[in-house]
Amino acid sequence: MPASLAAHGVGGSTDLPIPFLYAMVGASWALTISFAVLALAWKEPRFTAEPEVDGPRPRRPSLALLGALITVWFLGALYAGPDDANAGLGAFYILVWVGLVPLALLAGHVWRDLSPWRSIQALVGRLTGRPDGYVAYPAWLGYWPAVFGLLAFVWLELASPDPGDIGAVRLWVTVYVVVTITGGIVFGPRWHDRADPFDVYSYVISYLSPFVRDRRLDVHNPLRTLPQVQVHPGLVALLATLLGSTAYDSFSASSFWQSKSVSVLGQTLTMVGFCVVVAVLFQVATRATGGVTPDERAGLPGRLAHSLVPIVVGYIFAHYLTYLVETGQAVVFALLSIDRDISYVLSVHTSTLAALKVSFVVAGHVLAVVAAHDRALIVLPRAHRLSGQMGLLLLMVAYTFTGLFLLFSV
Amino acid sequence: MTRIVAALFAAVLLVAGCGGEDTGKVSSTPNPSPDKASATEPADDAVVVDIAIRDGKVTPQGDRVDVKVGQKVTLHITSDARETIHIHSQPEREVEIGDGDDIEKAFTFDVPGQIAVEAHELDVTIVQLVVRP
Repeated sequence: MPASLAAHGVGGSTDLPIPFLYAMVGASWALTISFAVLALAWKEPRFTAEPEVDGPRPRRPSLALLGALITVWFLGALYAGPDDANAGLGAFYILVWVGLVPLALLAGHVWRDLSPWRSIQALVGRLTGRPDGYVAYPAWLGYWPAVFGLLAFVWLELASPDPGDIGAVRLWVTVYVVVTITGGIVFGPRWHDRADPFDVYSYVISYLSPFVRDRRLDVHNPLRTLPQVQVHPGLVALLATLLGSTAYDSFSASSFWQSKSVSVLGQTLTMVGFCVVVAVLFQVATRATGGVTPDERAGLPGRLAHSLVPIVVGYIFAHYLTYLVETGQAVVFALLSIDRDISYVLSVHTSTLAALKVSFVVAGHVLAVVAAHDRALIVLPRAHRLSGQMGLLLLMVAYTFTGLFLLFSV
Repeated sequence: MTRIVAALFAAVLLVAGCGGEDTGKVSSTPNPSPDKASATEPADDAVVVDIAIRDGKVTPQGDRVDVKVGQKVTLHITSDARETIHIHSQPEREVEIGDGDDIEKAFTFDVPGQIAVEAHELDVTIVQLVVRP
């Protein structure tokens, strides 16, 4: 019954609002650079996707073993640990969910190597002689199962009656594990590529990694890899879910929202509403161009979707950085059963933290605008290149202003 | 491209440096309105938050209360029902309230940030303590 709205299931304090001046500086930079890119930037595409030839390299057994050990450890803490102050709960909400993003940025899609569900699928596939499962994964399903998985997660974290309730988290994880293992056995590895919410999340973010390409160290310009994100049905919805739910998380901590007593249903609908608004605006803005056939127009949102990734990552970093670094320490100490003082290195340096947060948002925005501009040069007809990008550019500015507004007002 | 990002980053950090560790610049209303039953004492060394739980309602609800790091914060709670107050600081703190209680609990907070004070049973955020350096 009871809930902890501001607590993300783990509790602890949240960041101070960023000062108004910082939000203004960030917003003006974002606006200026956006239009500079539009007006002055290159007229020929520079970051055309180099097609990935053979698909991803095989999984690395040592990392698969490591992933299995970590999974056993986390699940052991979650299910065998105490009902109060359960370290597995923190591991789930912070190390897995929030840690996934920096992991993918630094190390690429290592989730693919670590995933114990992929290991189980491979083992079962070998034993049954069905390495690709029993049923071909339907192409029309695309990323949609992952979208619903992500929605189920953010619902648990942000809108469910009690995100900190150990029983609820155990139930959620049980359902996730059963569905993921079953899906893998039935549909083969494709299930993990398209339907496992965490695997897909990591997959998409990994294309923004400047250090790793195809899971091997290879320092490069991430704008060259970003367009390689595979477009399947549900990609826009996936990114909109990540951005919209994070915005809802900020919004739900506002005095305005806290002063109302909103039912679980009301919270759920509001959260989903945030995601739907983000998605619908993107669909409309990317289609707003002349000179294309109806079929081409319908394909535009997907072909431009990768440009949302930097905005998502920038905003998630701004929103969750303190949570990951500071509450994350508490979780690690609890998992290791050691008693150490937590370093609040970010929280105590309020100005630096605010500057970092604004920098993440603005850097994400700039990368997004550049990625969108480059792709627009490919997908838009020559006569409509400038006007055709305008909708998406304005929408990105709107996303970023909203993000900065939430950071400064809540 | 890389240069743009680097320059941008530097610019923002520069602003941060010029601004210094911000003290007392408040973007929201400094104190919750007095009619909402919370008040700040005139002296800067203590904050008292009056909380009333009556007929399943909590006053105030969702207000912001500004405090300084290390400043004493007293929660003055009157309640006609059993309730658990959660203080989402680090570490978390809890106050158990009994039926008909009229109690005061004092806290200080050492880390800047926003701390939600919640009535757990009623599922309401009473106040958000905005702890500034």
